[in-house]
Amino acid sequence: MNLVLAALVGLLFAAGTWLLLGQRILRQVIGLGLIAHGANLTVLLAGGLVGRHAPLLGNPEPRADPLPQALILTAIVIGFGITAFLLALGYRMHALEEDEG
Amino acid sequence: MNAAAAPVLIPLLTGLLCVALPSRRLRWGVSVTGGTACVVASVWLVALARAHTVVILRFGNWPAPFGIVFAADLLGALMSAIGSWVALCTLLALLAQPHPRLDGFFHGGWHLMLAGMNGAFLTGDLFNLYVFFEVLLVASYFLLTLGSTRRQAREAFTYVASNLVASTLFLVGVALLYAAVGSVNMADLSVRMPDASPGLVRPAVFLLAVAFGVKAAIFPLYAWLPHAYVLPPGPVAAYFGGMLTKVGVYALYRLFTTLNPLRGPEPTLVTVAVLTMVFGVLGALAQEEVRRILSFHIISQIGYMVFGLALGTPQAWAAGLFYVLHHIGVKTALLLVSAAVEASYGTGALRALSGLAHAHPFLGLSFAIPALSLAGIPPLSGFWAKVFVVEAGLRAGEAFAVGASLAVSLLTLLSMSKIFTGAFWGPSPEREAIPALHYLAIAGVGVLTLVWGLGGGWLWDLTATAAERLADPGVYAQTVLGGR
Amino acid sequence: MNSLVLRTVARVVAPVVVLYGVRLLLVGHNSPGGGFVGGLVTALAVVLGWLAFGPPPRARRWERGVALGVGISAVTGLAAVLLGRPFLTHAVLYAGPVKLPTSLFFDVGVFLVVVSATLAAVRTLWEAGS
Repeated sequence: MNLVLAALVGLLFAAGTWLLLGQRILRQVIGLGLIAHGANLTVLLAGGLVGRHAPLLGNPEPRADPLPQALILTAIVIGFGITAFLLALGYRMHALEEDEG
Repeated sequence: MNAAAAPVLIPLLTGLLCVALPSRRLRWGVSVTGGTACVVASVWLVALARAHTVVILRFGNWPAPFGIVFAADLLGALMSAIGSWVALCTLLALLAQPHPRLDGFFHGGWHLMLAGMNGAFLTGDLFNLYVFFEVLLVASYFLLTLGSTRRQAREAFTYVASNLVASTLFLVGVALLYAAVGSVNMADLSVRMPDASPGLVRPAVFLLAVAFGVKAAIFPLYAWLPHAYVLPPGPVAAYFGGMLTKVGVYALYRLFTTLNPLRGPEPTLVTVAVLTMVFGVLGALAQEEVRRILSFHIISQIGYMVFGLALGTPQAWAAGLFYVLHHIGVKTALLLVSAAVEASYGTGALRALSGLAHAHPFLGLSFAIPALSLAGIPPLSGFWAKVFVVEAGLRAGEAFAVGASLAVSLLTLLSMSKIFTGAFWGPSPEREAIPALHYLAIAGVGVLTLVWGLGGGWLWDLTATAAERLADPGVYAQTVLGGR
Repeated sequence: MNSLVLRTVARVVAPVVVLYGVRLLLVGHNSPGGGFVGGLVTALAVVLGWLAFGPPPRARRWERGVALGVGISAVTGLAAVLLGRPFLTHAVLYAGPVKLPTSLFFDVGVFLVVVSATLAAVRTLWEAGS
């Protein structure tokens, strides 16, 4: 499972980079989004899929590590905000280009 | 101690208040008052950090490494103090020549950027460093696109995209470190990284170095920088030119001192530093516009700071740190002069300007002093900064790199004299007024180089203390992780 | 978007979703939830209403909620400073039998920020698009 997800991270980064190198703004924004997802998945993998033993009494089975989830949530929110900003920027470029003919 | 968070909270609340306030005059007052309060708080923090080694704030009273901490050591506090000062001076320059779109959100963006910067300097947690980087960058994106011409939007896109990729690499680096060590607290990391699996730690350090390198604009990662600095209003460019890259430099210092300390010269970094110096100055020589020349010089000067870091001795770190502080003052002053010229004469092209020194003697003086300081002429602070770096370089046996740095400073002098002959000498133009407030702003940052040049012993002592403490990360870690 | 079906559905669904958002806010201290998700859910309900009936003419003034929200959150954090504790230290208060953690007030601030900021973004894009 780890291997599959690691390959998926690679795929996301590769596809994102490819899109980013294109000429069109929308493709570049989508590419940046894919790269960001790749990074988030890496954070998830960093916590370990099976989880770790939480330092709690009477809790023998491993639990999912909550910290990477918190980190990813933060990263997603930031990424969401910046993607929205980029889309607005792209829209404005488009609008200004039409204005200037 | 709550003092550690004051330089973040004050601008955050000031910015919000500015967004909410309806009257222009009131915003003005609140904005400047908040900026001044932030300077006072961060200078006080320097004094505290000097006395107590590390000023720690455990948010919500959760013990480190489980909770989030702010850990202000002397390095972070010094950076935060100079950053707040630069923000205040450039804000004054902006108010001196109001931009038509200077509304509450603009003040908000200004203070948000300061909050992000200070947060990055003061946090003791690697993930929070990422968050504050993003806060800083979002604010800078906003300030950058102000004015919204088509060219501005396009250049801003380049800047945002390259910084976003860098941030993503940063995040991956944090993830790898978390996988290897199981912590994102910097003190905890510095203790446990030596025992962690090098297969994860080394790529993580590399990724972090690349991400910080993009933000610091080192060779070959500086392509975004001229895009960001040429288009926004002049005072915004001065703010960016003074601080934006230095946050990256600070992060590199943190990475290679606290987290993964260098022991002796690191050949790769030395090479990168020299190439940064050389390519930056060559780029500057090819430009014909005041602001473009100054922007490329930022890149070149970053090379000296990274050189100090790369030598890997406390003495060299102190020299590099001195260089950072000196350069922030000098570069902001130069860009503010260029902003004044552009605002009053409508252009920064050397071909279109002449005789400014005749029309505005004080402006000529306030360009000449930082320009000479940038090139390293005694007795200004730039001279001492270069002497310290060169001395550290010679002690480490990096004669070639030292030679290159001296050659680069000659070329710096050359391109500074190009601006001076182009824009400041020659037949006097029709005189346009420059507001007194703008002069005040220039003097505020420009005077630093004089003060530190003529009597900068105390600053050297401070940076030397900061560097010695960086060389002993154990104390930092113990203070952060230890009892309260 | 003038659709009878959407309007009828929105009239029923939006209030329920708002209630659910507020519930998420209130239970956030002990269970999954909190100001952030609660705010997002609530904002979604409002956007649903806008899609069905169009945004109200003076939607803009509600955007000051961002400042209000951060103000509330900051005050709860700074209250700890006034009591000589580290910033953001929280305590549990009791209003009779009701447990009232001060972090709830912090979350209310977050909730307001998220709702106002999301709606501000949607409104801006809406106006740019039409």
